[in-house]
Amino acid sequence: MIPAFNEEATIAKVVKDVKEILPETFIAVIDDGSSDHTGEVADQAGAHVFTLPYNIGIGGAVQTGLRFAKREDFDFVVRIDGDGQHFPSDIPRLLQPVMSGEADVAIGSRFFYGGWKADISIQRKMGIYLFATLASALSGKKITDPTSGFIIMNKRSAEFLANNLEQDYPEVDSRVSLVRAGFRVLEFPVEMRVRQGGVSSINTIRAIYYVIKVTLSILIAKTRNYI
Amino acid sequence: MEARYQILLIFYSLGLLVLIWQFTRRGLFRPAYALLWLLTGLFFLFFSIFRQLVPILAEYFQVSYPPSLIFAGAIGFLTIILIHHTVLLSMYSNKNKDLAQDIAILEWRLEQLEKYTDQPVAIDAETSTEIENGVEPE
Repeated sequence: MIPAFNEEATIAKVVKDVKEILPETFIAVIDDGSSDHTGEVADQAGAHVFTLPYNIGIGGAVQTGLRFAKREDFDFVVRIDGDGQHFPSDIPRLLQPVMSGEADVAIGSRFFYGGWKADISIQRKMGIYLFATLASALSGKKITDPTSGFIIMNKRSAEFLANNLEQDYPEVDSRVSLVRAGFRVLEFPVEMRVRQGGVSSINTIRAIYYVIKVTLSILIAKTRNYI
Repeated sequence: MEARYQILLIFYSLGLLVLIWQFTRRGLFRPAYALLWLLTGLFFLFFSIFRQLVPILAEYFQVSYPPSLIFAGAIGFLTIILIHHTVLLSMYSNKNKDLAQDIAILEWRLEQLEKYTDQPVAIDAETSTEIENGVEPE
């Protein structure tokens, strides 16, 4: 599953790369109300395109895919970003522990071995550090890359997230809620590229809102009861 | 002068109640949502008619400036109304999101169906009949 908002520059390559690695897989691109040709490009690249009538936020888009997966009774769900920052060649390595039952959720982490990548801005580093500290403290598990969008889920965890996912910026607090709900979440080291095109959905003005909103969501995820 | 002020307040409260009533009657307010507003209007009306109750209550609650009791009450009502609105807003935006997701999923399923049957699924009865009769819809 690839959520995408205005990613026409990169989406075709992502879809083709995934298709090459996993030829038998159902590839869903969730077009979150893009104003460019993301949907058409993805369709031509061979993906199944789910077009949201308007932009509902990345969490809402991911949830669309999860609800569909639940409906179709898929065994595993892989979520990668549409901007080309993740290497689809990492998917089999991350899928393996989930398929073997070692983990319910596998997440690709840029910072698994510690240290920072040079191409990340200082503001972003600060944000990621804050979230990693908070999410680690509240989930009781060490989380090195809390904002990673490279996630592999088994059926149970996908179903849980289909029912419990924030509509916008869902990555960080879902880490806390997954652990709290008793899922085994494991991080695995991956490389990520700088986005290959398009514009990040988080600009400077939104950054402050992002930090406050996500912090609130993490705290809520910590206190909410998950059944 | 005191009486004039009281009449003004009574008219204000009645005006508010009539407005809410009319809005509800014409379907602009759903009765369930008008309830809080009606209670607010009745609160104002009650204290504008029984104005002498205000100093008594103020003394009981040890409020040195009696009108502030009314302000507190009014702010209380408005806060409840606003919280109620936030709850409704969150509920509707959630339902809205669910509907958007349903549309995306249903649209995909419809496309699959159209691919399978190799013809567009009729959008209305007229087109449907045309397709059945072998007429290519416009």
